[in-house]
Parts: sequence; C-alpha cells; structure tokens
Amino acid sequence: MKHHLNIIILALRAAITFATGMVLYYFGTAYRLITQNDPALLKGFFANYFTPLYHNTIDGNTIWLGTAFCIAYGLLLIYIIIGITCFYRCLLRIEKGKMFYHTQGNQFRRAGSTFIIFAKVKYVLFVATGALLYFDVKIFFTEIPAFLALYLIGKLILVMSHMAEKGEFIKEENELTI
Amino acid sequence: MKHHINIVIIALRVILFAAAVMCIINLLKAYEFISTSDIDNLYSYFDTLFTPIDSATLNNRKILGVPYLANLKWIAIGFTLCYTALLIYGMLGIIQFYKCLLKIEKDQIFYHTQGNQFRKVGATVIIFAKVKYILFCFIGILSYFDISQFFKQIPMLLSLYLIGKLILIMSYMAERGEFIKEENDLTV
Repeated sequence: MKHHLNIIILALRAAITFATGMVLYYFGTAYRLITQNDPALLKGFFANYFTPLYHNTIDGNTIWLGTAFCIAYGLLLIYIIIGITCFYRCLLRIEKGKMFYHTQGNQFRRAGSTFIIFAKVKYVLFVATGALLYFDVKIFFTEIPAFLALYLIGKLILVMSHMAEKGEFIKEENELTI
Repeated sequence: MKHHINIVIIALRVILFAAAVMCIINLLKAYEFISTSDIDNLYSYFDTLFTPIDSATLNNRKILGVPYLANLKWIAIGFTLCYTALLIYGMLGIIQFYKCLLKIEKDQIFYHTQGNQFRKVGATVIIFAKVKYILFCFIGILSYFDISQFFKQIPMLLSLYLIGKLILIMSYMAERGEFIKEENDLTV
C-alpha cells in the first residue's frame, strides 16, 4: 500500500511545485502589464487562453482587467496550494501508519471543499474574463472538462472524509470499550 | 454527506451511459467496416482519431503506416473491437464502484468485502488507463505514423491513473476500518 501512497504523494509534490511556478508566472505577468502598459503584451498573453468572437480592439481599460485576472488567478492558485498541502499532510500521516487519527476527517473535508471551490471559482473566472475581454462564448464549454474533473476529485475526497470520520468514531468506541 | 455521495453516483451513472453508447457506436462501426470495403470511410474514421506527422501527406495516405504494407480495414476492425472490450472492462469496474458507493449511501460502511471491492475497482481503473494509452499509441503509429498520440494521451492516462491510486487508498482505509470494526464487535 505504501507504494500507492508514495505515488500520490509524489504527484501532489509535483502539483504543488507546478502551481507555485504558475503563481510566480501570473504575478510576474501582472507586474509587467502594470509597468509596461502595452496592449500588445496583453493581447499576446490572452491569445493563449481565449479565442475572440470578433476581432475586437483592446483599449487601455482592459489592461486593468487583464491585471485583475492575473492577480485573481494567482490568489486562486495559492488557495488550491493550501488545499493540496492539507491533503498531502493527511496522506503523509497515513503513510506513517497513523490511520483514523482525531482530525483526519476534518482535514480530508477541508481538502475536498478546497478542490470544489477552486474548480467553481476557476470556471467562473475564466468564463467571465473570456466573455468580458473577447466575447469568447466557446470558453463556457472548453472549461467544462477541467471543472468536472476537479469537482469530482473533490467529491471523492469528501467521500474519503466520511469514511475517515466513521473510522475515527469506531476507533474511539473501541478504545473506550477496552 | 449523502449529497456528496449522490453526486458521485449520478456522475458514475452518466459515465456508464456514455461508455455504453460508445460501445454501441464502436460495434456498429466494426460491423460497417466488415460489411463494406469503402476506403474513404476508413480514412474518415481514422481522421477523427489521429493526425499524421505531416498534414500534407493526408492527400496520399497510402504511404503512411500500415496502408503501405497491408489493408487498413482489419486494423480498424481490430481497433474498434479492442476498444469496445476495453470499455466493457472499464464499465465493470465502474459498476463495482457504483455498488460500493450505494452501500455507503445506505450507511453500510466498513462491511466485510468493502476493501476488496475498492481494490478491484482501483486496479481496473489503472489497467484501463494503461491499456487505453497503449492501444491509442499503437494504432496511431500503425495507421498514420501519429507520434503525437504519445503526448496527447498523457493527460488522460495520468488523471485516470491517479484516480485509480486514490481509490486504492480508499481500499486501504476500508480494510483498516473493517479490521477495527471487527475488533470492536468481538470486544463487545
């Protein structure tokens, strides 16, 4: 079983490192957008994420919208890093043989709800920014697979939290009986 | 908690339905390929799945992969049948997971075979992920020399593989829970 746990732990470490890199990238982009105030930079950056419905022109105001998007997404990534760290700590304890300890259910629940909130807010953020900046209607559908995957993983972690809570209860009962 | 389990159950029902529809479509395609020898139909089917290294060669597909050496027809039939069998295997795993969650929803947690059932589900998901990756890469290379499949299939492989591992951790939790519950029952 340790082998499976180790693989998930490795994947979580990779996810944390990757998310940290993304946070730095988004904050760096926000800083560049503010200091350089160059619409071409904004256009180039968002061309990777959104496809415009029309060839709209970008005025100065959208620079601030772009900056807000970068900062909001950076903060959202920090939020998910906290959730992943919580899940990572839970799994580390399980790896050390500490199953059904006092706060395990709570920790799993927190990690699960963080995943679900992240999935929902990311979807809303991308859809709102795409619609506001580029009238991008396609983003409503292209973001759905990522949203669903994260949402269902969150729900699966919540089912794990339910199992952990039940296990905690039985374990406590067992110790009291003895 | 029932609300969360219900959502996962609904998602599993939707996945089962989608997989069943895909099986039927694949079987119909296989029948179509067996009964007719329309080469354009074969190419249009592979066009939806794979892209050759150089898109310019799409006009002269016969120089790509197996068509250069043999008939593409039997590759297409083999692929559709293998993919259908794989989907049925995946569906069996999902049905088992669905049954486990239905029991948890009914508050039957840490019952005798729960750990085993979860372990079987996790292993099925992992095997499905690996075999699907190999099948798509292999057929992509055979039909269109499509090397990009090696990279395109990685996100799906990784996500399914990690979900499988997560279910295996659930099996470990269930096994430990079963053990403690049994101990508790014996003490009482």
